[in-house]
Amino acid sequence: MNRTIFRVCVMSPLRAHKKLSRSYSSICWNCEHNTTSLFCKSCNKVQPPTNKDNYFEALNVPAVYNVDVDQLEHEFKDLQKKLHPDKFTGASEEEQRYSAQQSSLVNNAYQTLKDPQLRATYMLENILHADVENLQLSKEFLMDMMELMEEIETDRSLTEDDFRRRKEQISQHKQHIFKNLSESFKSNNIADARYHVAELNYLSRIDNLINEKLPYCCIDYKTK
Amino acid sequence: MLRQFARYSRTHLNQTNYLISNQTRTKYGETLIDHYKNPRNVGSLDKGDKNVGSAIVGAPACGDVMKFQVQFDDNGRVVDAKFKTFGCGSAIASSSVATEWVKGKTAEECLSITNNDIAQHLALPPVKKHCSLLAESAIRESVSNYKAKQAPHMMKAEN
Repeated sequence: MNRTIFRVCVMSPLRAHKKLSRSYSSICWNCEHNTTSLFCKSCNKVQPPTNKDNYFEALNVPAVYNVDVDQLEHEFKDLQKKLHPDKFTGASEEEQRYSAQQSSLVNNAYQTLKDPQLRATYMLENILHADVENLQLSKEFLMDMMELMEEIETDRSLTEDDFRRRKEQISQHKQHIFKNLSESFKSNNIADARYHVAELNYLSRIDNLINEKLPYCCIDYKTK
Repeated sequence: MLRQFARYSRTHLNQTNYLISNQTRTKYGETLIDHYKNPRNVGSLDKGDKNVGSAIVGAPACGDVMKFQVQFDDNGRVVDAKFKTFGCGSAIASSSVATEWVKGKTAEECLSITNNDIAQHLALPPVKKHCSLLAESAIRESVSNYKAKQAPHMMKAEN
């Protein structure tokens, strides 16, 4: 019984978002015709973004965690080809503004969704409304994290190789969590997903601490 | 056109940089920066001491973790407090202020410190309010840890 209620609560926003794929039901700012797409059907002018809060809609992809990253990239490039402000250098000021808004929305959406950690955080916060902020973590877990961080900061005997090895371990651990995370989202286990995102946040912090210890040239900018 | 775009982006970037630096100047007050740069009472106390209450709290959304310890004397007043925080500047400053404020207070008085007091003192911007909340829960947890350690002794004394 409880489980069904949980499912219903969690699933409904997901389904709702799947149905709405980039729908515009507003009136064109230029010719005042009803528009249902990015560009007005009658005057072909770009429309201002109406769904600034939904990155999945902005990229025309289904709102699921296990999104196809290749499709994401394809949609991103395809949309930027049409929306990039360079395409509107000769257009009116208003149209230039809308193209810049659309283009930056698509950009933000792509940067967020292509990264598995940012995507998970975004899913929980904006789509499922279950952010990790008030999640209760166990004392043991926090203690472990504290000890790891303290060791990195205070242990003078650690060499550059030690730090590199730890960085490698962290990235392996992260890959493992990403797998678990995708399982959690697949089975709609939001509680687990929240826990995994919290774990990732702590690992990122440890990773940043290590970066501070490493010479400037060794920092891998891909890791958050 | 490329050159034009480069010029545009350069001026645009300069503008945003200016905006950001301007914002930070107004956002973070001097008290906060002082506590962040010279944090008070960093370190740790003996966890096994029955007069020491320890707490560890975390903010899972940002990966912050805070260790907070208070030492009481026999009259039930805080004589020393130490902390260690891995987190943003606001979290460090909040816990630093918290260690200063609990000193000389009784357990009950410590519990009357709220996150709003800390946030107001440091002039925390709204997005950083949760950092002061972390410090508040650290105080609560360390005091209740101390009380739990004291409870068996109290019972013995009564008997």
